[in-house]
Amino acid sequence: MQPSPLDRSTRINDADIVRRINGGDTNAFELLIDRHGAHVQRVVSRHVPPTAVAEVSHDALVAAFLSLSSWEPTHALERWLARIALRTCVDHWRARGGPAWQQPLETAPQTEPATSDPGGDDRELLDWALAQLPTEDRQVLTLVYFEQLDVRECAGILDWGESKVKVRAHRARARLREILKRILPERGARS
Amino acid sequence: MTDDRDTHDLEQRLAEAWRSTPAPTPTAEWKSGVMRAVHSEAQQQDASQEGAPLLTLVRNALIVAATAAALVATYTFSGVSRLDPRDELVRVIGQDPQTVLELFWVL
Repeated sequence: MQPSPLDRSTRINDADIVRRINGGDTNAFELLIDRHGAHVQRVVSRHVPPTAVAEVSHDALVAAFLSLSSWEPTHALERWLARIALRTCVDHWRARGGPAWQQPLETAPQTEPATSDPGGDDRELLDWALAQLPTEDRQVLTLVYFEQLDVRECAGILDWGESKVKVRAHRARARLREILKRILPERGARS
Repeated sequence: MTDDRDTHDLEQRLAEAWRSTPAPTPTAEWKSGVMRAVHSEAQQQDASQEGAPLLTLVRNALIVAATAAALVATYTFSGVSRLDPRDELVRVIGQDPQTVLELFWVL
């Protein structure tokens, strides 16, 4: 049974949709995909190679469906889904084991991007800079500073203690700044 | 100082570049794939919930049977102990040796 067109309107809120799903109306999950599927794919695409985005997003949404009863309507569903998506990304890296955690950066340039375009190559430069960091530093840095998760959320996703997250995040940011400082004069000269 | 500010600015730009990473638009095929998986998971959940009462029944029956067996074993063992005359004789000798002596004399 397809959800009715009325159901697709914004008048029905996320909490109502979740209530319907938890009540046994599995079809209503399609409404959540319509609303938040793109956001989940956007979050996932920052952490895994483009070829894995569809698969990891798929797994994230299935994981969300399975734990939907644990979502509390006092929290934003979009943020809750993003956390599950990030967790699924971490599982994706772990499934590849050890050094293959480098996978998300497999397309990262081996040398510093050589272009004088001041804005267009930022993502390329970031990938290169992140590739200079140890895996754990890169993970915590992207979650805390780029995804702007709080320490508790990050600790939950990485299965780390909160103090470890704080220490590693601080250290990783300092390392990133050192890397950026090293290349600044060169970039300044180019642009 | 300028270095720090420049680094900070670059860091902010990179963070912005991170957040604006282009993402693929969800396709109808991808969406229907997710829904197929979700329906499959829902069916598995239903099946496991239907099997749950039977599992509970079997588990409770096993617990009752094990408890009953333990009670029977305890009762039987204590009965055997009670019927053993040696323990009783040792107790009587220890508490009242005079009676034992008289009994022995009568016999």
